[in-house]
Amino acid sequence: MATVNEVIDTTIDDPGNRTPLVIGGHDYGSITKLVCRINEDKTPIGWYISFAVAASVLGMFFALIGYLVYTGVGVWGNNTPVYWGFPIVNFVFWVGIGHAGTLISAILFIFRQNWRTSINRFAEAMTIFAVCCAGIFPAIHIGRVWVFYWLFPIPSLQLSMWPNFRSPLLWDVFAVSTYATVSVIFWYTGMIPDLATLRDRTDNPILRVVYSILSLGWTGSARAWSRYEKAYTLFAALAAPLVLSVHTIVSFDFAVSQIPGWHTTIFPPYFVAGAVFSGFGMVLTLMVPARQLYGLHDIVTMRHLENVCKILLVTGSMVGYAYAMEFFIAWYGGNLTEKFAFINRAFGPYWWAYFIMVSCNVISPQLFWFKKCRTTPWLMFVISIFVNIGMWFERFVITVTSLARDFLPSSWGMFHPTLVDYGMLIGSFGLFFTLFLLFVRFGPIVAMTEVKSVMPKPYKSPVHDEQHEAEPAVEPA
Amino acid sequence: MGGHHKPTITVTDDDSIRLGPGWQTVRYIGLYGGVSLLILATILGVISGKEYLYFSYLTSFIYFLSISLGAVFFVPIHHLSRAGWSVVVRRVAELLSQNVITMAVLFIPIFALVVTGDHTLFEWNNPALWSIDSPEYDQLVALKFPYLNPVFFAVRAFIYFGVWIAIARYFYLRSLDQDSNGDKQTTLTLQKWSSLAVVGFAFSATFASFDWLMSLDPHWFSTIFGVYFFAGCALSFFAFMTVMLFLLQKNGTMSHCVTREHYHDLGKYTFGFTLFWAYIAFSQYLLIWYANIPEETGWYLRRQSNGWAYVAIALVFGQFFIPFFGVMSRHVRRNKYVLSGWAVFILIMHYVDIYYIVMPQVAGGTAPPTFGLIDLCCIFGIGGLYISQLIWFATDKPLVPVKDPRLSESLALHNH
Amino acid sequence: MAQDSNNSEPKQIGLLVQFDDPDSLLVACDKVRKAGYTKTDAYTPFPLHGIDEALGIKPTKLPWIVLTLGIIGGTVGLLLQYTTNAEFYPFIISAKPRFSLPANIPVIFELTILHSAFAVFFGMLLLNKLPMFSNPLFRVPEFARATDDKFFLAIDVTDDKYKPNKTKEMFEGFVGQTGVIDVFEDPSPNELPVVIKYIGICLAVAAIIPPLILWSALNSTSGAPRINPIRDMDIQLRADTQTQSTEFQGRPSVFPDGRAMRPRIPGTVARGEWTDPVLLTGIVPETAEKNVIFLQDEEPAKENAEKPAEEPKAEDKPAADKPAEEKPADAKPMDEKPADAKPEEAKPEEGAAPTPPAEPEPNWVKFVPIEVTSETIKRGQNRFNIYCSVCHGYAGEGDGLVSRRAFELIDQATPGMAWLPPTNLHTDAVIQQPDGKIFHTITHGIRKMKGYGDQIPPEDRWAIVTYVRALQKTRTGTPDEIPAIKMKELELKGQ
Repeated sequence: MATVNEVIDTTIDDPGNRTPLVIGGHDYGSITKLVCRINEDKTPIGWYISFAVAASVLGMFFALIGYLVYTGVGVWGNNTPVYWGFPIVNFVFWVGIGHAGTLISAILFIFRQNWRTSINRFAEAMTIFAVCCAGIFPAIHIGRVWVFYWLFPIPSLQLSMWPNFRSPLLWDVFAVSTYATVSVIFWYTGMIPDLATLRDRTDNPILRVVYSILSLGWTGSARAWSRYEKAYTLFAALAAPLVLSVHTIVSFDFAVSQIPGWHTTIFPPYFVAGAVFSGFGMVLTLMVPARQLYGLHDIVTMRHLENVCKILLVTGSMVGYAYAMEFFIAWYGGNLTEKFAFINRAFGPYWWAYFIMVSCNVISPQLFWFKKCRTTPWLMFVISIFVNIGMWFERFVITVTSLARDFLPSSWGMFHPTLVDYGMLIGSFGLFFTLFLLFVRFGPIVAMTEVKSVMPKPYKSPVHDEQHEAEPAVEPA
Repeated sequence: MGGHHKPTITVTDDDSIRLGPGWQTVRYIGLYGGVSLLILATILGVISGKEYLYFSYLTSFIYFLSISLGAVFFVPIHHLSRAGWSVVVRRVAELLSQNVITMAVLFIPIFALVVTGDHTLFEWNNPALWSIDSPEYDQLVALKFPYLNPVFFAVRAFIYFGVWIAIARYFYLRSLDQDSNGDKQTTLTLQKWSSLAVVGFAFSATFASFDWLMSLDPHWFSTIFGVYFFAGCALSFFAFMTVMLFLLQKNGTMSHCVTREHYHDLGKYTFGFTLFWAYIAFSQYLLIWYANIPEETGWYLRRQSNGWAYVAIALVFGQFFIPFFGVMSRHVRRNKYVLSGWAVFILIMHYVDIYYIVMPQVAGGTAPPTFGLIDLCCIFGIGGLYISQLIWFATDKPLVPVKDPRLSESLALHNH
Repeated sequence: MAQDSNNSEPKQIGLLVQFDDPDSLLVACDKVRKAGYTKTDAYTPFPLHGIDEALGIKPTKLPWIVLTLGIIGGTVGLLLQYTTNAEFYPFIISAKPRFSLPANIPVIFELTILHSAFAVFFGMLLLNKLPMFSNPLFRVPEFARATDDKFFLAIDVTDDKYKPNKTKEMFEGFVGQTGVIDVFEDPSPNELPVVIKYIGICLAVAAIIPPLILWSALNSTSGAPRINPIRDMDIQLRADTQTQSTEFQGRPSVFPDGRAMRPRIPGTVARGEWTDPVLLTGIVPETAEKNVIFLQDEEPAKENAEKPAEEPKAEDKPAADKPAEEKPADAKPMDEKPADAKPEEAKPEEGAAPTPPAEPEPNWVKFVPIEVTSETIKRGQNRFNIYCSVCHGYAGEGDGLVSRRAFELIDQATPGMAWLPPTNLHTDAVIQQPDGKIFHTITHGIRKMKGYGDQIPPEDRWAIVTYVRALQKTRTGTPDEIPAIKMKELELKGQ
């Protein structure tokens, strides 16, 4: 079925009537077709081109990792006093992006935001790929990658010692690996019914076997659905605090220390807000073009985009609030090094990074106060790119400015990233987009079952009257 | 989730959604009882040295203020998120938010203390600490003088109450207008202004918590403190709402329109904010404990010595673990009797929380935890006035926004 | 659903009815339940609300499984951290107790969530009897749309109420039904094909081999050299202390004589490293070899006269002979001379025990050889407060924190312990010293005082000297030394 142009302006509010979440007069079958078409139709040439580009960048990434492993971490710019350079910046950046998907599926689910159904699958996939990118950096920065397992509490005959559980870096290992695991199974659980749909539709025998195995023999039995829905609710209830905990623990990496500019109690919620902000920024960056390319205007309506913009505005403002609190307390606390750290951030040698951060993170989302900006796809795409840039710089500013100018003026120094640093930053995008393009090609990018359950009823039921009687009345508590 | 259920309840603007006459008795008991208890507290306080009275009064004041601040936050958030489920209980929240006016009046004693230069409550209000010639000169306090001085403190208090009263009155009065004219446009207008209201609330509540709680120890600072205070506000607000709805329904008001589904949702929020409070409290504690920097740790050290450690442990369990397991079950949240019981428990623990922030500063942090007649008089004195004013605001007003366009959606709420 | 498979005829095992819309299905479910059927199920493309009640599906016990596993996860997290960090491998780090609960919360939390999430996922699959790849329903062609847009209701023939014709009639009578379908048993055999069975056994056996190899490797030793696929910092071109650099695995030693570094050629000054010796030592040299004497040569002209003090152990190391000299900027050889710090300065002070024969005083610089401005004094004050004031006190009275603490300790803890307080800089002995001598003391230390030559650059040391002079002036100065204008100012302030 061809894309129906937006006949309804879904962004107009009519209190008392909820805007339909799917437009274009779809029924259940046409939703299935609309989504499966992406996997079943001939792959557009644009996909091959993008894939080739992404895969080459990924190749470069792997080559650089090989070079790093063979040569040692000296190929990076990390050095005294900035021991934590690009690797941690990239790590925190990607983990932050990896917050949107699970947040959409868990927290928006808990808040009964049904519009999430159109974008959650997509965002969850993005989450997982972002976490993959994130996980690589701490893994390779340890230098001797082959002893990575020392981080885990495995009884080891050679070491006869155990990890230090009082270290926030070890909490990170647990938090990120738990988050990755739970996100994957949450995502996969959500996909089982859709994979069954693909299984039942495909003619390709190989794909059929693959989809059959992946969908585990799902039939859509009501008894299974009952447990499935309970499981989904439980997942949401577990993933919501988990998603908060991950960036909280990432913020502990910095905040438990005493480095000026790092030790601030607002770091946990501030990092979480920033993570959600960057995650939604990336959702928008990917969603606007994908919606256009695959003609998903009926499922991902303008209202959906507008909602994402509003979340960006809210979380961007929360980040702004945190910046303001940090500055106020840096003065109010009366600690001179702390005060210096913040003045140095804004006016020191890295002032440019600071102003990129503030203008991208705090100022650019303020455009979303205007409805015009919330409903113009190209504009929100541009702003979302700014958000991505700004959030990368936020991590850069926090990591580098504080280390470059800490307590002892004698140990001050600048950070000089190397070509390998830049190459790895770019290369991680290659990994991200390669995985993402593969998913778009072979996976169900919209949660069909969930969309079907919240879309306007497409049918006139022959039993309408009887049904009404069978309805259990809502009884007062 | 499906719109399978058509609304089966209608709300008419009749007595069933107005306060019963019995509440007026409560109002007068609250009013006279409250005033006399506060007088008693003053007498007892003056006899036993004023310091304890001041701190105790501040604790109770902040306690009731936080409940109303929760409402001042909830109402704009309800509009901002175009919430459907909460329409039926929104009027009650609006009425609760009106009580910031009451709290503004009750703030006068604290205001007067600061303006008259008394420094038993706020240590920093001692000119000897700012002037460099004095032997008590305190460099940190002097450094904060541009912020912590009586004049600016007074100006800020005016701003805070101004913002809160403006938010509370605006949303309430427009909502009452809608009751009579049923204008859908009102909903849209309120939604538009709600975003600004939330921003205004965020900053005013943060700085109010800095001024009235954090500056009790002028050396201590914590960037998360505003969020911590907010978590307590929201938690106590949802607990208080639950108890209020329960009491109203017990007396036959709103009994047909507030269903177990609404209790379920209130219970979810109570549960959620219990977690959120624990998260924020733990974040603050962990970071300060771990970094162990003298200027920060002192605050917690004071709260872990002299017997305050027991209060801390009581908070960890009472404000988190016990209610966490208590309200975790869906069956509890759907039973208004059990849920209200937990809400009362949470409200008590919220008092302990505020008490734990304020009272260790008595006598410069050397006093052990005590709880006596003065505290009781302050709680029930301010509480009595709070309740009586609440009833006064609610008298003759419909307790449900009867013409809200989303009311039918709220009535048909069904949790899956 | 499948029971036994004893015959070749496909056996009917169930009945399926199809609907186009979910409401009709819900009504049908309700009717079926009311008719007393229990072995029923519905198949829908998305979860239908109200179907649990309509079919009489009981709430799942999944939450209890999750709660149990969550609690187990949290306990495991706690015990893991307690046993490993407080029992098996106890150590103190960043002054935290071995068992520090606040620091253990994050991992406890993560493990709780991880276990709960596994419980949700595997519990849900287990309760739903998934994965189940073979299902007779998959043989029904119409059923493919159960995951698309059709809604089905099924009854098992083993249901007590099931009557072949009556049930079918009832199904056909449902409003909105679009087809009633018989479901037959899957005719394919139940047993695993033999090939798959053997492949499985082989794989299982093969899977045991790697762990066995690993196990045996862990429990045996080998004389074979380690394989170094990655260098792993095992092979490095460097000489460790007390060792010679030797040939190793085909790499030559750094120098044939086993050294890793060449000594400096005596009497040379590296290009650009020459500094006026007066500035570096505070001594005006008397001989012509001004430029050479400051080098840390291996065989220096030991008898150079301007040496201020003879090291008591001058004999044990020829290289240690010249404490008075300052190496240019940060030349390395200086580090090799441990004797520098202590001996020194055989002034007639009471501290130095083995009083060496009195030496002729070197030719001290009388006045600070750098330009003195108010900036210099400020710089000096700044450095003095950082480096000197801990012992000498901010006013130079020898009452710095270290000294005060020492006396405190003597009072409280170890009465009778001796403590010689740092020199009061306002004593005549110090006041009368030439600037060069004070500089020398700062550079090399005196008695217990350590030398600060390698921490403070020469200019700053001179700045400290000027500040010390300024401090002394505060005691020795007279009103007439104050410029008239300043005097006026002070008078105006009433002092």
